[in-house]
Amino acid sequence: MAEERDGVSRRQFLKGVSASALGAAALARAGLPALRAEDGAGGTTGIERIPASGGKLDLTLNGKAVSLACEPRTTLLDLLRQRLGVTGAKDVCDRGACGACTVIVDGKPVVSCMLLAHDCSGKKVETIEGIGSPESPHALQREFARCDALQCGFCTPGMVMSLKALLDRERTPSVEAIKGAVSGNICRCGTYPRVFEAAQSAARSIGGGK
Amino acid sequence: MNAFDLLRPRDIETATKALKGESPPVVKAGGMDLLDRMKEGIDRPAALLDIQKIDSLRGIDATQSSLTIGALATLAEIAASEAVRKQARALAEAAGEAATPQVRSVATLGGNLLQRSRCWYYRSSDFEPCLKRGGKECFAKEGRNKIHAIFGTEAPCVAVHPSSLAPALVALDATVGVVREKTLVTKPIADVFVDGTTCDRDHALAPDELLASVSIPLGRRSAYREFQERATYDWALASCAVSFVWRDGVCAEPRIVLGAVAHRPVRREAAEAHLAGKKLTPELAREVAAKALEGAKPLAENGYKIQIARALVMRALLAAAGMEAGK
Amino acid sequence: MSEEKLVLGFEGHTVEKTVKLPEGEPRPWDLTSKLEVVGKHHPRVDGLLKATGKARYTHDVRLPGMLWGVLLRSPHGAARVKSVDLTKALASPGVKAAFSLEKSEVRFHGDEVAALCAETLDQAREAVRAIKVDYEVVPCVVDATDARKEDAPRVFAKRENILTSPMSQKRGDPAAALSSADKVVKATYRTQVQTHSALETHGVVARWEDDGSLTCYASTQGTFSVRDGLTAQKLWKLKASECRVIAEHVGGGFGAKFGPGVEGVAAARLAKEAKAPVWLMVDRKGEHLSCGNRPDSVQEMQGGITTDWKLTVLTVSSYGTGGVAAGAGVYNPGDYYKVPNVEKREESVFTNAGGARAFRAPGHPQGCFALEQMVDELADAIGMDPLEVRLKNDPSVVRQEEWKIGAERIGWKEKRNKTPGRGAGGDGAPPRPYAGTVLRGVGCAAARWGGHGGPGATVLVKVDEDGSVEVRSGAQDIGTGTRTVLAAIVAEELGLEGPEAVKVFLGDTRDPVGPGSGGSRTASSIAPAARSAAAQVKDAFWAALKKALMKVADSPEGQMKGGKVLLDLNSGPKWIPFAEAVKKTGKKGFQASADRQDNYKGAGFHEQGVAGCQFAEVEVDLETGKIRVLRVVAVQDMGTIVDALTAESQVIGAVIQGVSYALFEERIMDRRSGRMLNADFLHYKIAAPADCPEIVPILFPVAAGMNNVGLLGLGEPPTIPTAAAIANAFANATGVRLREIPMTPARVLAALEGSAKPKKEWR
Repeated sequence: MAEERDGVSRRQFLKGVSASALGAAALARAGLPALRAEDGAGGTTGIERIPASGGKLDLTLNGKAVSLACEPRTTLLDLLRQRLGVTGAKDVCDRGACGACTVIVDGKPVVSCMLLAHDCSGKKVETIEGIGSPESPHALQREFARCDALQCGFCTPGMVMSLKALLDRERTPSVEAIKGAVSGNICRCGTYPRVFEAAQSAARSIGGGK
Repeated sequence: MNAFDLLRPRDIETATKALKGESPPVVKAGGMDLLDRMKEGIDRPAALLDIQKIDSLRGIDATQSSLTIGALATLAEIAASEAVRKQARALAEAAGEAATPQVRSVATLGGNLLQRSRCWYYRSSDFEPCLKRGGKECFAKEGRNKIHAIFGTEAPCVAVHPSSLAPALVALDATVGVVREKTLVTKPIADVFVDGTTCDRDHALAPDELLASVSIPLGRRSAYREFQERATYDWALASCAVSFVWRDGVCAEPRIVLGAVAHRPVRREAAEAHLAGKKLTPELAREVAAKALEGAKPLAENGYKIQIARALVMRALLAAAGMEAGK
Repeated sequence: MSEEKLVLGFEGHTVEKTVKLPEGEPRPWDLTSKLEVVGKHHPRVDGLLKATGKARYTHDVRLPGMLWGVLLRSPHGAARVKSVDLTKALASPGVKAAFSLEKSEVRFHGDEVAALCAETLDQAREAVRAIKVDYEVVPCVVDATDARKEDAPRVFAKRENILTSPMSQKRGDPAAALSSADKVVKATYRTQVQTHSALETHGVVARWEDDGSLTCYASTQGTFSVRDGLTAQKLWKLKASECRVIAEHVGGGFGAKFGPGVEGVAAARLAKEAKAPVWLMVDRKGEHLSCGNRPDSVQEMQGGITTDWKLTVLTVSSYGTGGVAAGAGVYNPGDYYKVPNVEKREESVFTNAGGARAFRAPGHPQGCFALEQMVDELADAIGMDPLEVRLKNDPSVVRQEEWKIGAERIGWKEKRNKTPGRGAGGDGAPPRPYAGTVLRGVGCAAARWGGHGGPGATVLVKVDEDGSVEVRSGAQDIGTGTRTVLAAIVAEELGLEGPEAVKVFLGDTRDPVGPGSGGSRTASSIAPAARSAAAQVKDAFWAALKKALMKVADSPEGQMKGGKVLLDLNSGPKWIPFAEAVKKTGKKGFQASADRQDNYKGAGFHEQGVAGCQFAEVEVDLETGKIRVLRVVAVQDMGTIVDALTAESQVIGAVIQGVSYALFEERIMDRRSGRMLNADFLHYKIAAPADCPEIVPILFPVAAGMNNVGLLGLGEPPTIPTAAAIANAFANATGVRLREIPMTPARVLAALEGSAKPKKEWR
């Protein structure tokens, strides 16, 4: 039979629920795949506990290993801006509602204000600082400047990172895909049309360059 | 946010074990909703149980008879899944319309279903606690309520359930797998939600229960339509998910579910009955839509939701039948 | 004093004017000027800095030993403050200083009560919860209509809630004109409270220096006004020279960011008490609640027109609320069209809500929304094309052209719905409810503005011995492109290649004085001073070249171009790089500063102010009430265009803000508690990318001639007419007037249901 799968394979699926405890019948009733014997028993892997006072956090920031003690309540954005002085991502709404704090974690665009720093343990975090500099800008950064896709510039790092995540995934995105990629990024100055233009232009230059 | 301990189990049993006891930790998945409440200070848990490292809760699996999605599947994964798009289109549409790309990267199926209401009275730490927060009053009922319920408004709480995935899953006859201690229980997804008489909660899961997965039986045509003021990233003012078994152009066993109009996703049985066994036409869709909104009792500022919801029912039906609205 | 004859205006409409120039003033640019840099498209000079996250905003300032400050705000709409107990807060982890603002009353949700600072922001936010305030809640009123009632709670114990504004206009005999007009329309228009919502919130990072002076990094559109606000405090004794304010990059302002604010003073006070630098930026909620807004308005209007299309009379009686601040007026309706009889009365009503502040063209979008719909309604009353009525009554020669350009570009003739309420193009197809019916229509509206800039600005231009060029002004660039404008002007004057050849330093009160960014007058005020200073530097450079025995022309005119200077060397005439030429003078460099002079008396082309107009095309979903703005054509005059790229950006941005105002934004207040319910970006809705229409910015250059550059204000005018044009387009689509913004689906559906229902011809 043609069995479709996405993401993690079925074998791993619900691996932690011990077959002995839950029973194949229960799983079947739940419409869940039956477990295989080698999945083993659950409840044995223990629990990691990071006390409120803080615990060790390791992550990769713009290609460099970062290791530090961090309170659980510290968000990724606060870690970047307040602890590490990496201030490109902006704190605008602090509720995931504007996209100004967008960074890329393991290839995905995220609102860093709504992630705990510890959510990123062991992950690769990429910020606006990591993708280019005024001397050697990323194509998106260059085109944002060239097309004037920015005014006050406070939303710009978030816009650029949302689009970077898109261009990393799709070399030749449609205008609709571009609009979709920045659909969670609010600009108060009103730069949208030129953001679309800059993104298309950057996509062309990246696509053409390879 | 208040300081809290972070607990990270790697398997379900350890997680459910940690949820037992007097003051259990609060379950956190993507955290999109939970952190919002914590930042506002309306929730101040002493410990969080972060289940994101439980890999067995991830993934989307399709068999010939059903589609099973782990509670930790992200909205982005669901929206992009070929299997979901093919077998449960309403769900893919709902996941794809929710929030923003950045939120969809992180927000999970489980978190979306179990999120709390977006009622602005409930969500503001400046208000005295409302019914939802253990208080005595619903401020919305006589207050500003353009975003509130139009069904079940006689109940004490008139907040609406904000999930866009919930109506889709109800329309798809989904079941959920819930683990408590060492027991896995399956129940219809409709049982996860509560009406406005259960004010202080937005779902029926006990504090020591963990939502593990959602299963969807295959074989139904479906569609989801929602309406928001902005073109993107806005909370739905109303949504509609429909599904039916398509038999030679006839809609059998239809489900018509409205979202963002009541304390829970609401099935509109009278409308379903009107549609059942008939060949869908735009005229019939209009009649069904009118039926679906019968019995709505809007509040002072949200009567407009009726007309919007009607349009959504029509559009969702026609979309599910492959007869897109318009010409 | 010298005299110059200038050719002003625009192609097709030129006038010659003779102006008397102040001493040392370069000849003003006019239609005969051949400009190399000015007028072209230049990327903004700080664009890459911003796009790479390197631009440092106040939010980003990190100083050694810096503490994090937070304000405690009133959760009540109105209350007496009986006591404020800081004990527990002071004992909270990390807290270094805390104080109460000693208010006996709070008058709005968000009113500041106390402040503290701690070692981390999380600590500070937690500690502020531990401040115990004993409030006695008293009745409040948040709605202007309610606040006007006899028995309404008083916002200020000793003042009436209603303030009658002196800003009234009267001419002719409106009563007589109303009775003699062929058609009279009476209508009431309503606009909402809009918050500025700059992405960078208000705030300051304050540091007391060892010498007792204060340095403040501020997110502001007025470095000098922040300084003056801080030195005026009784908490300390500071001279202007002892207070330095820095705003290198600013994440938007839109009119709300002039003074230091409660937050700025609190940061400085906390820093003094904690003996450490303090960062205190307002959070998003505080920004909505307490950092300014555009007042709402209710405008009862009457207009009269004759059957030969002449507007004869306009009267408006308006009220609105700026919360605890005054200033809820609308602009003068008689300023746009030749209307002989005008009367305007207005009231500003106090309510228990955050105080209004200037917001991008204060009063104008509100007034325009009413006036321009009224013009359409009067045109409808006599069965005329509203554009024709405008052309008949518009006294501005500039806008007369602009109307034609805009109409052509939007396709006014083809797109105007001849039978509103029916399919576009008048195909006679009736709307079909529940069949995905959408209708389209077009509408237009005018903008005018008087911001021509003026004195109060000095600019320093410096050429170093290596030929590098820098410009300094203490004024700020809030995202409008001021840096780029100054760079372009100095590059033009010194014959440099472009703006990128000039380094511009802005936003530091140690540099020469400049205006606040309000009234669209930053660039128009400092640009002429920059040009004067650059001209002086050029003259000094030329004199030095001569003195160094270089063979050069008598005057530098035409001898400095594209970054090169024409020298007659032994080998013959040769263009050599500017830097080399500077070296040949043997000088250590050149510098000059110049003051902004008054605009020339009697000169200038813009008696009617800056002119603009916009055309909008919308689509209305009759089933859901959703309006989609498809296209906006914005034609805008700004005098001399210095940098076309950033100028277009300003126009585009202003239109988007106008769309957002027209369709989405609205402060929602709970009437009983007086609390704002949507003090966030979830329910306070700013137009998102997908809501953005196609925008066609058309800059309309005019040689203005009232100062040496002729640049006029641009920041504000293009946001004025957008909402009105959309409303008119909506009416053209549906045949129904929606006289209230935001035009949410709820309002659209109510309007369609209310007035359009039994349209006989539909069935």
